[in-house]
Parts: sequence; C-alpha cells; structure tokens
Amino acid sequence: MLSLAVTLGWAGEATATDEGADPAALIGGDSRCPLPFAVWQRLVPLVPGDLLRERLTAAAEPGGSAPGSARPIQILDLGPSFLVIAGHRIREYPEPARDCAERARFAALFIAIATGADPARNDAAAVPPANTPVVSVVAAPVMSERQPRLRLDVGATAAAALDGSKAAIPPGLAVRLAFPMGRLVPVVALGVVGPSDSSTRGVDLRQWQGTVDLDLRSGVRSMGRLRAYSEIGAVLEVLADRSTNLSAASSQLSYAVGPRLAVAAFIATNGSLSPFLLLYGAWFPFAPERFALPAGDLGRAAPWTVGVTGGVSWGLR
Amino acid sequence: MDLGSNVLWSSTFEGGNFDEWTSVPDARVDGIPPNSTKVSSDYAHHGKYAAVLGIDAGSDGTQQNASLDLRGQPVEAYYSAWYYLPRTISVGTFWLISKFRLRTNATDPSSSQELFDFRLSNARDGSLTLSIYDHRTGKELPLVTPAPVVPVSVWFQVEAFYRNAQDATGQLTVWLDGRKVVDLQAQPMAPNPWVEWDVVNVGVNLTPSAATVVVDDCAITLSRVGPTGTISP
Repeated sequence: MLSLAVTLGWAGEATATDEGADPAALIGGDSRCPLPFAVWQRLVPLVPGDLLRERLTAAAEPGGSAPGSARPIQILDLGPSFLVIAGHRIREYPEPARDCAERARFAALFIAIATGADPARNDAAAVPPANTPVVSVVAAPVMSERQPRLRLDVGATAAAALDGSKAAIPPGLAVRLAFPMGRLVPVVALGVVGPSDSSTRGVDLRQWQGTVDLDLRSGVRSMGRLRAYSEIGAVLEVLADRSTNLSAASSQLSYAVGPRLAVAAFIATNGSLSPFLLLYGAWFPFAPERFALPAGDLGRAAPWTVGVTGGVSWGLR
Repeated sequence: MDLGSNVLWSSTFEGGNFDEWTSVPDARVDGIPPNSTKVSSDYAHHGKYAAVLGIDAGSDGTQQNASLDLRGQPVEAYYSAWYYLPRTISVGTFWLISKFRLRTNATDPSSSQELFDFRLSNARDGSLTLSIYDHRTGKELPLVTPAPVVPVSVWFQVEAFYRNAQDATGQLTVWLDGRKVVDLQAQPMAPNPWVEWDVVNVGVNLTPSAATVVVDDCAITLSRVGPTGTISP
C-alpha cells in the first residue's frame, strides 16, 4: 500500500508538468546503458504527457509494479542485453554492441506499447527492427503478486507440548491448504506429530498427536523477497496415548479444542514453489485428564503446544 | 482417559467379604477363636468396608494369630496395605501387622519359615513405632528414619518393595505413609523365588489383650502406590 501511495504520489507530480516530472521517480533500475533518463527522453515524445502519467499510474496498480520497487518502470542492464519491466510486461533485448542510444529507443518503445500507446502515431522510426531477436517475453511479472487460486503447503514439523514437565520435541508432518479469496484467506490443515515420550508420576507415556485446524490467513506483507503473514484459528487435537511401563496398559484416544495462532514467511520465487517457515502455538484449556493405577491422577495432557513447520508452499493457479 | 494399571492384585473388601483376597490361588483367611477375621463396615479407608483382625493375646505367653495370607506372590513387587489401630496397645513380647515368609523348598508347604516381621513396639513415651525384624539374623533391620511413629485412630499406609533375589540384587525397602523407614539392598533374600506376604494381627502378651488391627485397600503392584495412590478407579 505504501508502495502504491508513493507511486501514485509521484505520478501526481508528473501531471503537474511533464517537463518537471522526475524520471527517476517513474523509471527505476540500475542500468548504465541505457540510462533511465535517456529512456525517459525517448518516452515523452511517444506518449502525451497526461496519458503517460495515467498509464504509468495504471502500471503502478497492485500487482503492476516490479516486486520490491516503487517505480512502475525498471530498466536493468544485463551487459550484452538489457531488460525492461513495465508493469506486468517484461522484455529482454540482446544488444551486445551496447549502443546506449539504441537501447534507450527500444526501451521507450516497449514501455509505450506496454502502457497502451500507439508508437506509430508519434515515432514510427522507434519501432525496433523486425529482425531484433527477442530473448524472452513474459506476460506476467517474474515474481507474480497475483494470488494463486490454491496454495498447498507441505512441510516437516517439530512441536513441543508444554505441561510444566520436561518438554519433548517430536517430529511430524503438516499439510496446509489455503484458498485465497480476498484479504483473508481460509486455511484448512492437517498435521501429525509423534511419538512423544514423557513420564508422569512414574508412568511412562508415549503420545501421538493429530491435528485439524481451520484458520484465517492475513494478507501477505512484502519485505523484499520475503512474504510474511499471520494466521488465527481453531485447532482440534486428537491424542493417542499409551503407557509403556504399565503391566496392563490400554491405548486411549482423547480430544481437545483450542485457539491457534501462527506467523509465517515464505520466499517469493520465479516458480510456483516457495520455501516457507511457520511458527505456531495452540492452547487447549480443557486438555484431557489422564489416570492410571496405582499412580492415580496423572494430570492433564499438555495445555500448550508450540511448534515450527518448514517446507514448500505450492501456489496453484 | 484411563491409561491402564500396574496393580497386579488388590483387595478393597468392598464386596463385604474376602472374595477379592481369596480370588488368587493359595490365599488364606485365618482367625481361630478367640481370634477373628471379618469384613466390617465399622471402619473403611475408602468405600464402606474394611477387614478387621482381632486377637486376644493375654499374658500367658501364647501367640495369637489373625491373618490374611497370600502365597506364591511376585518375586519383585510393591506390597501395600492401609492399617488402622483403634487404640494404643502396650506390647509385652511382640506385635506384628505384616510378614514376608519364605520356603526352603518352594514346592513344600511344610518348609515355610519366617523371614521379615513388621513389628509394632512401644517407644518410651508409649507411642507405637514400626520396625522390621529379620529372622535370618535375629535382629531388627537398621532404620533410615529413627523410631517411625505409627499413628493411632488414623489410617496409615505401610508399603514394601520386595525383590526376592537369590543374589546381591535382593532388596527390601519399606515406607510408612510415604516415608522410607527401611532400605535393605544388595543382598540375597530367600533361598528361592517363592514369596508369601501376610497382613496380620499377631501378638504375644499385649495390654489390653484384645487388640484389633483394621486393614483396607491392600495391593500388589509394579509401581509404588504411595499415600496418594489409588488401587481402584
């Protein structure tokens, strides 16, 4: 949002006077050949001033700017080639001669086309030669901010059940399905953790924990390539307990429900797979009571669970 | 959730009879008049019933017995019972509330012999204290807690861990109300694995001669019952 506001602010300044518009505010990138200013000089004649501002503003709409940048246009010098990013559109031009003026012309033309202008109307000479090889044309941004229809997270989990005694940290697996539909994303998840060994009043216990949780995931916040979000929801845990040192042991299933909070981050990548890390905690206020003879009351199962899940998030479009 | 049990056997007398006690082979209830063994609702540690063992041990030097016996018991286990003494007794010769016995030949009942007696004796102030008499040495076992006092008119628990090993891994550890009073370790016990555990009221020369020991919630377990444990759900 901040990025959008800043970008729109810059666009507004450009409206006041085309001559006074700061190209550095609209065209970014570290390119030395062509220089962003040179591209700007070529671009202004191609598109009327107010139209250019309008279209660059449109390019700065959410999902329209290059990730991690406040500028709607990015020029990147790749040595024997250069890359132009205009909103959703990206084009790489091979240009080993490093003719910076020519590069500026091609870049300006591409930006004009990408923002919807008709370059033939103003500067037909700017049309790149027909034989100019296009290395890549990408309709979508390299790192798309478009939300996938479905996000599948699969990961390994380590969880600690906190009941005041020495905490075991058993391993486990987690599968999480997110259904992006707006700012809040419904999530359903399954997990299994165990076995966890503990001892209470001389009774040794082995426990497996299965969980089903329903959560709402917040909107993603960008921090460079890092995307962070939080989740709040409810979790149902199913505990399978068995004593390992009772002469007559019985396996028992029990249930508990409680609130769950999580914070997570994933790294945006060019592909649909992204590594993620999720930290979570759950509270079970009515954790099941345990009993064995002759020890008697063994106390409640752990009311707190904290854990970490790391794995791969797959965005399905 | 009920995770199971380490209770191998128990007798709460809640059936109003000795059926739980005699549910295992070679268990016996003894009380020849003038002595008696009965289940009564006059006392109870938990529930409604307890076993009342009464003897009349006068000054004639005759040993009087009322006992609940279990033979052929686990080689290694915790043996626990709750006791209630309705009144204090002046002990002339001896007064026992529990025993471990041995057989020199495990298959020959006539080879039974005494091993450890759980004795009550009077301290100088007249209070009753617990001690363990070892028939092999003819001496009382050293006490971890000096002169552990047994309360009168209050239920108390005596629990023993007995490992009847024939090598240096043998062990007898006794707790009174959860407090360790005897800890005999690293020595052989009986000559063979056969174990007899008796809950008794055995006395000689007691004043008054009519002595009552009330017993409840007896158990043989693989882990400690302790004062807060429970032997039935």
